[in-house]
Amino acid sequence: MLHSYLEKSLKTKPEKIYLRTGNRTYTFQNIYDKAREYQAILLKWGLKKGDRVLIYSSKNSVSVALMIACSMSEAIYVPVSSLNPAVRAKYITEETDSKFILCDEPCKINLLGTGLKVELIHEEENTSFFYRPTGKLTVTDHPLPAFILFTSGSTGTAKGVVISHNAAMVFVDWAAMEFKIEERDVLASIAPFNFDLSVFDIYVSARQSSSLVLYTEDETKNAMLMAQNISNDKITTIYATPTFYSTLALYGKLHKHEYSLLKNILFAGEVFHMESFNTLLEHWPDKNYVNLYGPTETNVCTFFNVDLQNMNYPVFPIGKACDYAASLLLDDAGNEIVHPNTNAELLISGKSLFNEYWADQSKTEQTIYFDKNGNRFYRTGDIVYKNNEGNLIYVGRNDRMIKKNGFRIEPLEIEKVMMNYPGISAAAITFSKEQNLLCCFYESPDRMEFDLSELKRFCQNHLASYMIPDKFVLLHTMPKTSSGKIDLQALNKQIDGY
Amino acid sequence: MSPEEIKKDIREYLISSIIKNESAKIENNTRLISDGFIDSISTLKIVDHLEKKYGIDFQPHEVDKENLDSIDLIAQFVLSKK
Repeated sequence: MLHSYLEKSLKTKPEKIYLRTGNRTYTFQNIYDKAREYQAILLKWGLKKGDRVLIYSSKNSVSVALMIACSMSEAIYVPVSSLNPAVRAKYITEETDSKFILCDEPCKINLLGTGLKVELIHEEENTSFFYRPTGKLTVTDHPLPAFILFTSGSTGTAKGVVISHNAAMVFVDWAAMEFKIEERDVLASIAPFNFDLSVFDIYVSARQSSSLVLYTEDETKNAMLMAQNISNDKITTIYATPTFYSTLALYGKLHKHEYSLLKNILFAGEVFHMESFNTLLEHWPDKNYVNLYGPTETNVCTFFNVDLQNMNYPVFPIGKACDYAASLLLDDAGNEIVHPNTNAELLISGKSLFNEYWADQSKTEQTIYFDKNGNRFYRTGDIVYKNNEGNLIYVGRNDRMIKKNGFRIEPLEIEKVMMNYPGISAAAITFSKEQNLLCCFYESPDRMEFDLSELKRFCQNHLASYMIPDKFVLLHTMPKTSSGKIDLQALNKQIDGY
Repeated sequence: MSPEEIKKDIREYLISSIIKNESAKIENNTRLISDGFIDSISTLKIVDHLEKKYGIDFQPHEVDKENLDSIDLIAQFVLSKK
């Protein structure tokens, strides 16, 4: 189980620093003791195996210790980053029927403002633990679930991806070895805890007795500050989105600092455009660059080591399957594609696969495919082809899912929210890759153009910050296809005109 | 440059390069970051623009809502750095 990593480091290196946040440091012993303390508090309030514990907070040491406490108790933690508005956190609390909630001060104020009924049971260091009476819910407990990561859902509401200890650990074990992480390494926690990149940060560092510096959601937004932090904190390994790195290269003033200790630059979540990559390379010419691929449902399942001596890729391949995973390409007719250079949907099998979508068996069944040998595959919805070297190349999606700044966005989730805006009768979301622009087209019966600040404020209260449209465009009538649906392709073409 | 000229320049830059909406109502005290008009990458673009245009240099901790949340605040900050 995941807490065994911490226990192993506790035995050999109890006084080694595990976490750093701001000016504070915490040894493996400190975090273990905290985890035990939190476990005792939750047990007193009736924590049982399989109970959900929601963590709605900026990143801090209390959150990490609580995750360890959940693992010790066979409870399931549900991280919800502070980038989410309170209504989304409330929805996830109720959807998962969470029995306990951890909040930092700002998240607490927002969550209590939604009228959620909870009881305060413990307070420390600007964080509060709440208890909430729950009903009975059954959850698949084999393999034993460790946490639930909520991602944007194609049906218009957030969906929970249930990840087992086994699935998380097979990745952590592989990554620790593949990237040769050692005790002297210092990892940077850039991704929010509800993003699966953080599984690497938290558990690879625990496993290898390395240190992890937690950067809050506010700090990671400031490229200039992060450029300084990465140097001052002597970071050796970063796992983040291409957007993070390209923003750092463009606006961070990397030339002002020294990065000789930095070795591993791991990236995932979206395509790293060559132009941005080359800008980064000018500053950091001699690092180990690796492209990792995998949706939340599989965690990392393929990877590609960038060969800096041979930089003639039009795009970086997503590479070949990790040793615990296998890939399968299926065309529209359900035929297996073995030939190179033929586009098809990518399916992934192996020990890193998720258990299920939380409380949504039919959705789970739709995305699972069994091959003729009975192997369980996840249908990624990503269209890829295999090149002549056997590396997979990402082409696009077979649905409407958008990747913006490494975040996964289902347009329908935004459209549903926008349709609740008073006076909007139809809404359609499109995305321009070239401009990195999320655009909301809307219709209003009075042909009324709404004030941008009102629209933005409404979105801030109902959507995760990365889902807020950059532009809003009033249309008298939406373009329609011959079957009467909103013509998204026509809207896509229109974006560039605005 | 006078504060008014700086404010005018910032507004023009915001409308043409960031918000890209001529009809957007951006007042001098509109809360740009707090109310979600500009995201973190746009904030960095504005900082980059200000550094180039006014020959000033932001320190990492100065890239903050405290100095950038409205046209008024930005102009005040630019003047204090010059």
